[in-house]
Amino acid sequence: MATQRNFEIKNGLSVAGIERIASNGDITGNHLGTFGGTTVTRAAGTNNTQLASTAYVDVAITNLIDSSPGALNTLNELAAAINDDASFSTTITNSIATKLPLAGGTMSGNLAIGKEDPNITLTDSSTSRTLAMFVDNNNSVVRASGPLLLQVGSQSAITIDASRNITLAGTLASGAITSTGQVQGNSFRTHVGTDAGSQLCLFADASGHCFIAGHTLQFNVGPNNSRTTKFAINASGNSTFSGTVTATGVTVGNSNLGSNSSHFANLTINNNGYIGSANASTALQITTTGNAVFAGDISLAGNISLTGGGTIEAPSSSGSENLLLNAAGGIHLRIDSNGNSGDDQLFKVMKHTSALLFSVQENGYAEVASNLEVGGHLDCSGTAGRMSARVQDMFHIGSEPNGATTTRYGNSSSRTYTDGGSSGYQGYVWANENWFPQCYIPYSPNQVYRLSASIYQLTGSTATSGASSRHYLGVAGYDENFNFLSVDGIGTYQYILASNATVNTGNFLEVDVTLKGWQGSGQANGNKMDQGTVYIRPLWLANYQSAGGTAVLTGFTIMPAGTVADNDSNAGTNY
Amino acid sequence: MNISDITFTYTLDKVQKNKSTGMIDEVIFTYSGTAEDQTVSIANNKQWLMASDPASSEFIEIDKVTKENVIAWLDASISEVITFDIEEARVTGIVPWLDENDPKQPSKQDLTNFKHSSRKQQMQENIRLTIEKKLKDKLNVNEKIEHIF
Repeated sequence: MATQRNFEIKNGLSVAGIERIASNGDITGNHLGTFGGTTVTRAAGTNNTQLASTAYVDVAITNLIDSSPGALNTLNELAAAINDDASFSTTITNSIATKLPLAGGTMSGNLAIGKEDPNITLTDSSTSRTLAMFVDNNNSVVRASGPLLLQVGSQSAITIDASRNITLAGTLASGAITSTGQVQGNSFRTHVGTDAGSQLCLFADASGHCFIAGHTLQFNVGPNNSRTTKFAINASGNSTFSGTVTATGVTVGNSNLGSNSSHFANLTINNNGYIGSANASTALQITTTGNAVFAGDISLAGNISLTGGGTIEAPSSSGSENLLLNAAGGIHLRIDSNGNSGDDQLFKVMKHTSALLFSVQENGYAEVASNLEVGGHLDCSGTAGRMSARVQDMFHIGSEPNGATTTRYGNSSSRTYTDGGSSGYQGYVWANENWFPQCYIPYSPNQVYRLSASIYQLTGSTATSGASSRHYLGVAGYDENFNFLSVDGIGTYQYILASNATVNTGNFLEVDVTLKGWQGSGQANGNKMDQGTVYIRPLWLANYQSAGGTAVLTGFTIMPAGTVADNDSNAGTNY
Repeated sequence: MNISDITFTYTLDKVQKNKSTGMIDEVIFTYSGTAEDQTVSIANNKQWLMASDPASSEFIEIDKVTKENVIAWLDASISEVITFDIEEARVTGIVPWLDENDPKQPSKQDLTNFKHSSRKQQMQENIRLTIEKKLKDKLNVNEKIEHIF
């Protein structure tokens, strides 16, 4: 048995002078084709440096071709199939990039479907709600399985709900709207030409007020081809009714007819026409001269304004008509404050000759042109009250009627009336108080005035209680503006009737004095007032500095005593 | 003319005493003032006098009372300054013919310088002004005087 040996060629092999194998072992020269030897067929997939037999190569090629169709089983055919495009991959990639993925994407071109009954359907996979757009026969349809919203931005412009109601968020511009149901909205507008032209607007505001607005409004009745205007409002706001107006009330402006004088012009009654009721058709006649003649009574809840200078008259040929004011709550004749001054704020009672009889100013000043007859008291008990007159006949208090406790003669304290009965005294009881009644007696320096007073000492006489119950009694002088007069700071003759007068309990003090002239202007002896005195005011310091005395002023009289000459013994001297 | 330029005198026209106490308690008097040969009088003035305490050391028995005593009592009595709240004399209402802010309105009258006075001061002021008037009238050449046949 032959022993297998390794055959080693060193430094190469040359055959017929031609190197066949180099010293490094490489086979050199191009003479493999002529190599007539054979080799084993290696297993498919062998991957080494062994020689491959043709069979091995055929298998390899067959495996490469595999089951490729005959038209694509050569590289040339494959190259032809890809259009001999060496950049086929890039070409394909670029081509695919222009296509919309099934997962969605953004198209840069239009989508057009041209086929019979084309249909696009959008389905919400979570709710199965669908929106389809399709063309079916002659109808182009957008169909939604639920409410359909057309939105601008994120806000709905048109909403169609499941009940097929349509809601518009904006203005509806339309040639015509036809509906068998309701057309609802906050504002509807119709117009001809530009929107700023004549138009009819129906709208409502946020407060729920509804309006019909138009340049002019005409309400027609009748078939469209023969309708007639029954009610019209022109551009000036005047209304015209072609028929009868029947209403439960008529309102003009913001209030009832007549409350705003400017609205009277809107109601015109022609030809001495009447305003009446069902039972009194001639209740009010408006004459062509503007007079209103009422057939019945006039009842007012408001005011009668005479701002136009008119009058309220009760003309009478027989003298039997009266201007009667009757109200359960009392009658008020009020001077309205209108910012004017002077006569505008005077309330006047005048004769038919326009001679003033009686007037009251807004500040409360009242003037009587003639005599003022008072059946009761002329009471000046207010803090600002006073009594004065140009002609003074007599001022007298005392002999008051019996009554209960009262406040009188400007003194703020209440006092008790006491009636001495057979003792003769009666009047109000005063303790240690000052009596300064709001009475101002006109004083002329050329007149002699006789002042008389009487005081009844009720309690606290000098005889029984020492130094108590002193009285000072007289008058104080005032100028023409009712300023208190005090020459050199000394008020004159406050105490001409009584000075330090004391009266025993149960007795009267009766005093009389006369007064004439002004000091410094008359040279006669006697009692005088300060120069400039035009009013005198009674003054009584009752029970001066007394803690317990009470007295009753039973009379106080001031009366003119003629114009005795200054040198007469009775002029300004005490009786 | 000042008050001090006038000489004032009392004339007791009638002096009355209380029947039960015997004390003089009323005086009717004439108060006169004379200056520069002019005399002005205010007659028939009645002044009540306070009763005195018989136990007082200054008490004078009625039989020992003199006219000078009475005049002294009278002078003291009419010299008493009588006071009251002068604001009571102010007219508080608005005089309608004057503007409300007119200083002539009595509500705005300044009474701070008002002096409470005695009856004596009042009569003296009357007499002073009347004497001044008489002196002024003496210069009136048109004054009418009675002709005596």
